[in-house]
Amino acid sequence: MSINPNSPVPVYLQIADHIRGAVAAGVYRPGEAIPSVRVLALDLTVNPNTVQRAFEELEREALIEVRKGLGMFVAKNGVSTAVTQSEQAMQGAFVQAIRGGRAARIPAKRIRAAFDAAWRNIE
Amino acid sequence: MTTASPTFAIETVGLSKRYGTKDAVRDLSLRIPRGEAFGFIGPNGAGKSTTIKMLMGLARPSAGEARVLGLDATRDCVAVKQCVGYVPEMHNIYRWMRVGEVIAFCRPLYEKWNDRYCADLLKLFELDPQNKVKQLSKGMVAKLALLLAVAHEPEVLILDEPTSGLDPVVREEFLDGVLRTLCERERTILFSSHTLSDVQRIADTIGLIFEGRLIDHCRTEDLLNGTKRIRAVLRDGCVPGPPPEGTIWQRVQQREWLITVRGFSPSTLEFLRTKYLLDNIEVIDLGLEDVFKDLIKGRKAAT
Amino acid sequence: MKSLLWKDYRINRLLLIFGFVVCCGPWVFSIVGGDYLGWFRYNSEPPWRSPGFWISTCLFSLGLSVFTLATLGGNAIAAERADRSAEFLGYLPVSRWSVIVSKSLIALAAGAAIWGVNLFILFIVAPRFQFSYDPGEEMIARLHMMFTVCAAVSILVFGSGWFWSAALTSHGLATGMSFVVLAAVIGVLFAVEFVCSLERFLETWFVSVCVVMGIVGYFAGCAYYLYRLEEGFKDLIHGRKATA
Repeated sequence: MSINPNSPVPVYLQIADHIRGAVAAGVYRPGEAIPSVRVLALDLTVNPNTVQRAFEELEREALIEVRKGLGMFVAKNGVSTAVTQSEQAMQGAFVQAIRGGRAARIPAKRIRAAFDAAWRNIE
Repeated sequence: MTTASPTFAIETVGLSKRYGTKDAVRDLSLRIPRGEAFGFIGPNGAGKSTTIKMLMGLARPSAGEARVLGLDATRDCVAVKQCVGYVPEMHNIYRWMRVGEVIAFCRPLYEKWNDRYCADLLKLFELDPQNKVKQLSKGMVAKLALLLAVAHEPEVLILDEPTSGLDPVVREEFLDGVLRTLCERERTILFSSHTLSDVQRIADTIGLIFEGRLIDHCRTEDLLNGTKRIRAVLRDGCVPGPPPEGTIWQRVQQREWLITVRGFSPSTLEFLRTKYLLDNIEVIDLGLEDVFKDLIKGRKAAT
Repeated sequence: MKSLLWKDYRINRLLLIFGFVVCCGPWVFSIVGGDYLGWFRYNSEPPWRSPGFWISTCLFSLGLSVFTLATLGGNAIAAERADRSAEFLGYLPVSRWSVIVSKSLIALAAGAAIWGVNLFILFIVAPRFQFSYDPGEEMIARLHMMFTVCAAVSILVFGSGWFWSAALTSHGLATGMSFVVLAAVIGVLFAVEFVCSLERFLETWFVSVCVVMGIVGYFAGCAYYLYRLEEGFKDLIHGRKATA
């Protein structure tokens, strides 16, 4: 994983997104430990405070939990939380795309058609 | 060294510096709490280096004062240097010394010095104590400067454009070294740079300086989340008037009206929608680079 | 302090070696040339039987060492400024006092060594040889006067070199300026002497002016160094650009 410092998304959210994606994809399973702040900070060359903020964000979403003295672990229903979050992120991307289409004065019908076409493309 | 423990690691009040008739720094008031990583950004010649020089007691303020860990930076400059690690843009280490000699020279000048940490860093940075400083590449000298700045385990680390002129690989290694020292224990960092990607990796908060004035100081993500660009398409016959509150930069081209707003909220859009006849309006997220450029462009246009 | 002394010694090492050669060279030259080659034989006696041999060699050595002292003074502060290592020193937790004390100690030690070696040879070693004639009071008095003049010129040249070293960025220029000052003092004083014909001109007027100016130069240099901060060229250039 790498951080894009030029992205409009703050670095700590990029890290949170990344961990969320990793949990949803099954890289880290529920009950397993995730890398420590220090390890991640050095790995990504970002300030440990920033990683800490990403962890706080994920903890707030109940995706991970702290075990005192042991570190950070993926929560029991971490996967479902991650999937829900990813769903929201996806929806956000759709909203952006649709807004773009509407700005170009594309009628709703044709926007829907474009979505179906994209879907078929991937399939 | 510090008997009292002030809340702010670095504090300046009305700090100013004149060179001849030019104001390098004007009425700069800055407070950096302990343990914070502060990114100091601004174009070349904006006053970053001058401010840092005053913090290090290397330049005398024309007005105002600079305090580091509660110590007056000019009066107690030796005490300040004991608890500050400083990496300058230009590394003027004695070129005739060997790496080992430089370390042996600096070591007794500090009240404390961590030999093990120093040895670890030598190995990490692949510095050979037998090499002469003049034989080292620019990147190696930068790493040596970082080693000298952190081996006495300072509470505050001041980096003045430390990565300028380094190639991407060395730059990454250098930043890695900085982060390692950050991971060791809580340290306050003041990191000045015009490479925004480096700043964004290191900094918790960002201060933007332009023409000697501090024009913004906030958390990095607040700057990103709170600054948006609005792209409005004007209906025929509609003329752009006063922009919404918090506008830092705007440009009109044909029917397109671009506005960058600091402190963006839904009411910003509401204002534009009610005041002007618009065909379309959209909000664009900005990266730090764009935010920075718009802030500077706006300032330049205003003066 | 120890590491500052080490650093100042290392910076001046070449110069100190040069100073040693300049100080001892005349003695080697005189002994080899005088005895072995027989240049200075007087009445076919070895040269060390004559007090004049010792005195002239000693003055030769001290006179040449004036250059060493001028360079020591001129290099002291400006040399580190010229290669910008003074800025590096500025980042380190050393007071400007200790920096200047260390530099002064090195220069003082070198000066003391030069004079020590010469006086030791002249007053301890030389009398052990049997002279073929007695130097006589007049010769001793002339010797003392030459010593005073030589010491005074050394002090002036070192002090003014030190002052220019504190004020300038080029150590070569600072050393050169110390000789310009010496030439100016000589020129002005001899002009005054020509017009007013002062009494006991050389041993009182010339010597005291040199000593006073040398000491004033040294302390003015110290004061200026303590006041001046190594702000670096970049800012000075920025400042100049802005004023231009």
